[in-house]
Amino acid sequence: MNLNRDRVRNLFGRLLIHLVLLAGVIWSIFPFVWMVFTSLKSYVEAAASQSLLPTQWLFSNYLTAWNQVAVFPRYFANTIFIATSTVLGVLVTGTLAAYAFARMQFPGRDVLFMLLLSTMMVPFEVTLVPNFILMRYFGWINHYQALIIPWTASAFSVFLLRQFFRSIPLDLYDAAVLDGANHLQFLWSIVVPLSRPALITSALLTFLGSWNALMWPLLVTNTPQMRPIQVGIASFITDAGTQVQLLLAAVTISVVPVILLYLVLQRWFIEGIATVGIHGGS
Amino acid sequence: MKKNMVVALLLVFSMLLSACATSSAQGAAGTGTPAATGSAATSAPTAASGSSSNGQVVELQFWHGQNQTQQVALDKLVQQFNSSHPNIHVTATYQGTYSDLYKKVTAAIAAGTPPDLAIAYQNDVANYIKSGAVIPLDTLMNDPQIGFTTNDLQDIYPSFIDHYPQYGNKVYSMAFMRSMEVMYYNMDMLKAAGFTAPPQTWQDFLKVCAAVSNPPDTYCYEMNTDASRFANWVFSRGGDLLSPDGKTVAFGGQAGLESLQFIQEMFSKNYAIVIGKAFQDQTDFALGKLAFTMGSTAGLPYYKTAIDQAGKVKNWDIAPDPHGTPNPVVDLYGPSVTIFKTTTAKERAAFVFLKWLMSSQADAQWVQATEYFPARKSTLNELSSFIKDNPRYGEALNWLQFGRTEPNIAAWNPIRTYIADAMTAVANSTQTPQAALNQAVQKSNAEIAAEAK
Repeated sequence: MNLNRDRVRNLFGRLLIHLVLLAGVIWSIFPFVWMVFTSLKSYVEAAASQSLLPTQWLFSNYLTAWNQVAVFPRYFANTIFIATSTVLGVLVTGTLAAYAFARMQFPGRDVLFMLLLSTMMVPFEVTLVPNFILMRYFGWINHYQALIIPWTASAFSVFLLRQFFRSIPLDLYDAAVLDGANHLQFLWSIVVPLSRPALITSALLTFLGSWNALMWPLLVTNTPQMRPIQVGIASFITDAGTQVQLLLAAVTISVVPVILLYLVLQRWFIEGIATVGIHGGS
Repeated sequence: MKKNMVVALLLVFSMLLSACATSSAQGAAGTGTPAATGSAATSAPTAASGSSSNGQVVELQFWHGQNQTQQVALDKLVQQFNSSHPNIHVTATYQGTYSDLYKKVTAAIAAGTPPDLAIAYQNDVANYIKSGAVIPLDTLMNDPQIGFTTNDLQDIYPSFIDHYPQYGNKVYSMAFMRSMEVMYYNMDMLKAAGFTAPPQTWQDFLKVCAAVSNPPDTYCYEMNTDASRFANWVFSRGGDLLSPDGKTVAFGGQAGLESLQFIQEMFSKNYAIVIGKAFQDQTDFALGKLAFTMGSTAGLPYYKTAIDQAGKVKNWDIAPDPHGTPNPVVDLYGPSVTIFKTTTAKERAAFVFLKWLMSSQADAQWVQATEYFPARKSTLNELSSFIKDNPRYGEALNWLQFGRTEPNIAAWNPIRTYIADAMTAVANSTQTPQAALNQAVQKSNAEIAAEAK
């Protein structure tokens, strides 16, 4: 009897949780669904219709959007190259810095870490012009260096990885030292493999930021050959009107790779978010 | 094991991607450089044999914010210019929307590397003047070799040459395109209510509204809240926006008050609604829900597409806003081109290019691709077949002579916001027209005073 009541209560609880989760899923997936459906409508329907589904499915919008941006493939290749390089850079610098902050003893460590964190509070707009001048000084304008190198160090990634590294038991380090390992060897063979969720989280967030960047690439490049996908998307917007359906078709095209990447990596991504600062890797 | 496989695959995949991208990037850079040197090589000899005295080709960077379809037309123009002017080579570059473009130019000025020319709104130009980055064009305009002739100046509509009242009324920018504030009207709806023509005066407009409004199915007007509406309403009531010395706003008088009272009447009588999202007035008009909208002629292609697709409105047209003045008035707006302080040779070459863009031959091609309006009266001769195909555009061309422009001051951008706030406050009846107007005037004057400091 008692057991039965527990089971009912349990079932009810689970149902409730699932309902809440389902609502969350719908809430977060709706913009994507809306985007895809709207990208298949006609202009007037996209702009005015209340219904979610198109009355006429215009798959040709995708072709039109693709053709309107003459250098779409080039934009794509640029974005993939820039995002991938930035991610690699962030992982290398982030891992090294985070390890130093998490595991090594040196004077001023905590002050330096605070200083690093405080850079996260400086808005992008404030540093825009000085950074641009710096790029000009280096002669990097309209080169991939300007698009990649300034973004290959991320205070947020250092913070994320440091928190993760600190949760790795010290005993492991002692054991590694007994086996004759130095810091770099310990980092590479023990810490990095254990921190995969945090590394992947950091990689995905960096990738996303890089994929979505518009203002900086516009600022430091001058030819279509050097520009990323977001520039192509921006050129659908005008002061007099916007072909919403074409804009959304272009946006859909541009997010497909990001979604694919997320689907492949989502297991670690969720693990990364869930375990930071709570316990060590699995 | 499986996990490792996935990770390994991903690594390989990302390496491949970056490798591909690098090689394609290098490939393109590789093909890009010879092409660039190639064109320089081909233009250099012609330049030497051509008119240039020292055989040097002047390289010009021209930054713009034109969208995809317009880029095609602009690139074509630039190509024509380059081949007809062997001693000048212009490179046109898209730099994002107009606001992105402004940010980029501002950063480039700070870095000491502005372009040679850029498309810019007049209030942005005022900021460039303030930082000393652009040059007045008066001397170049009067230059005996490359300047305008008396005929040119008679041919060009005055509203395409921007004088800056706060900077000695000098010319710092000129336009080769403008759009026009007009009224779109649904003739089907007007006819059904017994009207044979669009209203000429504001009183008539309200009469039509009383006859056609049937909320919530149809409304007389949907307001796309924007200071350019207000500007035209003030002009059409004989008012002005800025005092002649540019130190205070001038819309605080009767014309401004009547314009806000007009909003009050429209909304209190349920004749009008405010747009719910960007460009909703265009689509609601196409769906036959509205008798009138007001806005830019740059919206014409979008209206046409929406009306054709919706198939609800058969007869529609554009007209100048109703007016209390003897002639109609149309607010002409749109960005201009400004020339940056570089070297004398570059500044002169930039002026030659700008003047060429404003020529009837070049401008005719541009306005046909964009449906903007040209800088010169003589351009109309080049447009006869285009006008035949686009009768509404042809009508509007005749109203260019009635053009007025919004003030060329840096503070105009924030002031536009204050005006829009006043319009919204009156529409929502949170403020009386007089109170909203007073507040907008006070804030605007403070903005101008702060800017002068």
